[in-house]
Amino acid sequence: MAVIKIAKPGKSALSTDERDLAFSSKLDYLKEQASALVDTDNNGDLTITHNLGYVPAFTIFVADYSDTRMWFSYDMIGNVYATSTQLVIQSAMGAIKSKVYYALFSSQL
Amino acid sequence: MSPQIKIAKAGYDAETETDPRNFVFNQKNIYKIAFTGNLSLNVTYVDDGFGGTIGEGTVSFEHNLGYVPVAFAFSKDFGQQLPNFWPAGAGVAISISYKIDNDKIYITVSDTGVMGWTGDTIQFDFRYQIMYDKII
Repeated sequence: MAVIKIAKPGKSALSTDERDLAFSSKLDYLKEQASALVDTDNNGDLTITHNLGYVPAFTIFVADYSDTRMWFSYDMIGNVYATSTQLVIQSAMGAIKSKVYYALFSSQL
Repeated sequence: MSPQIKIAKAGYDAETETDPRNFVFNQKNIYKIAFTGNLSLNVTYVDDGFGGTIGEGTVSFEHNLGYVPVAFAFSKDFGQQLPNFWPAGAGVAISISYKIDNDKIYITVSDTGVMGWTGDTIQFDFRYQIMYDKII
């Protein structure tokens, strides 16, 4: 089977060390299937429905609703979990309206 | 229709496959690393005034991307992804967390005497990965 490889500058695509490659079709990647900047409700809660049909890997960052200069990693305060149909965010920045950036990946948990 | 580049995993047909799990590349965004590196923070523990001790500090890396990027941070000491919180009763004994803005990533330690005691200086080591991909 044909393999597509792209080497990093100064490295060979024939290298057997995958760290030398920028891309290899033999590997898998965190592919962002969906992402968005969204608002929670006034309790810091938000449920996002997805149609992936499996529980996806995800990442979340949260910020104050009225001041989005500083962003925090997702579990600073609240709780986040994914199901095969939803991403559920509870108390993003506490029990207040918050800004959320989320990304759902092609990888299955 | 514009040309498309898709690479299916072995055993799948890129032209007919619809499940994103079965692609190596399906034209969706892949996070691209802009910066990766190490940071160290020396935390000096002092008397908290209540008979205990407190050690706090923040270290940062200047990315200067001009926007808030997706970023990840890890504790090299504990081999854990941040943020990390050690609970103590209803409170937190030690927290190591990070935040990001247009210019920097900041990693903060706040320890109520788990790793050190008054007069100690403890070094914490971190690894960060900052993406070109934008939050806002």
